[in-house]
Amino acid sequence: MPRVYIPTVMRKCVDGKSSFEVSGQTVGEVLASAYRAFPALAAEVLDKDGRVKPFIAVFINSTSLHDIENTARVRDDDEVHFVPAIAGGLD
Amino acid sequence: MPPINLVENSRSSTEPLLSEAELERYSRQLQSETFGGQSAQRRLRSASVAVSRCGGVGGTCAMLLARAGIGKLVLAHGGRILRENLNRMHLAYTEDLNRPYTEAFEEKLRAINPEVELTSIAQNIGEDNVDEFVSGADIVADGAPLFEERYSMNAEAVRRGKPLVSGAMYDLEGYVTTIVPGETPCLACIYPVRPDYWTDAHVFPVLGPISTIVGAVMAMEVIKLLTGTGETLKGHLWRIDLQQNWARQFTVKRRQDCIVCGSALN
Repeated sequence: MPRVYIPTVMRKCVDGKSSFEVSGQTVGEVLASAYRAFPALAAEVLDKDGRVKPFIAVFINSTSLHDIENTARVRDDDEVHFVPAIAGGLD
Repeated sequence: MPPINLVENSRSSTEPLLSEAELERYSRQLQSETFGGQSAQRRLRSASVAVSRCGGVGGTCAMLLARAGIGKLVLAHGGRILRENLNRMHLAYTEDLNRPYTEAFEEKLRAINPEVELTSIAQNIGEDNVDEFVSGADIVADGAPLFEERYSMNAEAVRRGKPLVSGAMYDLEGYVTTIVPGETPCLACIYPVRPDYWTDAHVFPVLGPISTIVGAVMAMEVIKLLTGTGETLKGHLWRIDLQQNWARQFTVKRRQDCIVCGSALN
C-alpha cells in the first residue's frame, strides 16, 4: 500500500508516527484515507474549504500535488510526503 | 530583470593564475574530476556570496565556502552570541558569548582563510538593508530563521535576477532548493504564505548535524552554480530526515500567478 510520510511538526496529529500505510487506488483516495484515519491531520493540512493550506507542499513521489490529478492511479510502492514550510536557521 | 549567467559572466578569465599557496591549499579539491580544476577555482575566487543569517545553517555554508576559496562573503546577522547557539554554530565558541555575531564570525572566517574578503552587516535582513545585502553579491545564501527575512531576500534576488540558495531545518529534518529567477520557482512559488505556526525564531528544535548538513548542501549548491559542474537543485526541493535516514528530491515548478516572480519577470 502507498506510504504517507509525516514531518516532525505534524506527528502530533498522527499519534507520533513518522509514516504509515494507507489504502486507495488513486491519489484522491489515498489522501482521503489518510485524513479519515487521522482527522487531526486533515485539520492541520486542509483549510476550511478543504484545500491544502498554502504553506504545506504535498508530493506524490517526486511530483507536486499541484501537478497531478486526484484521479491519477497510485502504486503500492508510491509515497506521499507532506512538506510544510520551515525556516530553521539561527535566531 | 533577466537572470545572471554566473559561469559565462565569470570574471575568472581575467583573474590571475592560482598562486603556489592556493594550489597547495586547494589541491584536494583540484584533484576532483567533477570540481573543474583551476578554472573552477578561479571562478570561486572571483565570486561574492551574501549569507544571512550565519548561524547553524548559514554559518556552515559560509565556513565551507571560505574553506573552498570563495572570493568574498557578505555576512548579515544582528545580535549577540547566546549560550543556546553553541550546540550548532561552527563560527562561535564559548569564549565568544555576548560578542556581536558578525564580529565573532569574521574572526573565525579570517582564521580559516585570510584570503577571503569579508563584509559584515550587523543586522538581520529587512526591507531597509536587503538592497545593500543582495547588490554586493553574485549569489545569495538564505539561512534565516524568520519567513519575513526569507521572503525579503527572495524578492530582492528575484528583482535583481540573482540566484538564491535557500536552506531550512526543523528538528532532524531539512530541505534545500536553488532558485534562479526566471528559470525556477522562487520561494513564494513553493510557499506563497508564511505558516501560522512559525511565530518567532525560537520555535524550532535543532541539533548540530542537521543544520550542518543543510548548510553544507547549500555551500555545494553555490559551488556548483559558480563552477557549472554537477547537477544543482534548480527546480527541486531536496529534503532529508536524519531521524529516519532518508532523503528525497521533489520537483517544484514556477507559479505563473506568483506574487513575486509571476509578474516581475514577464
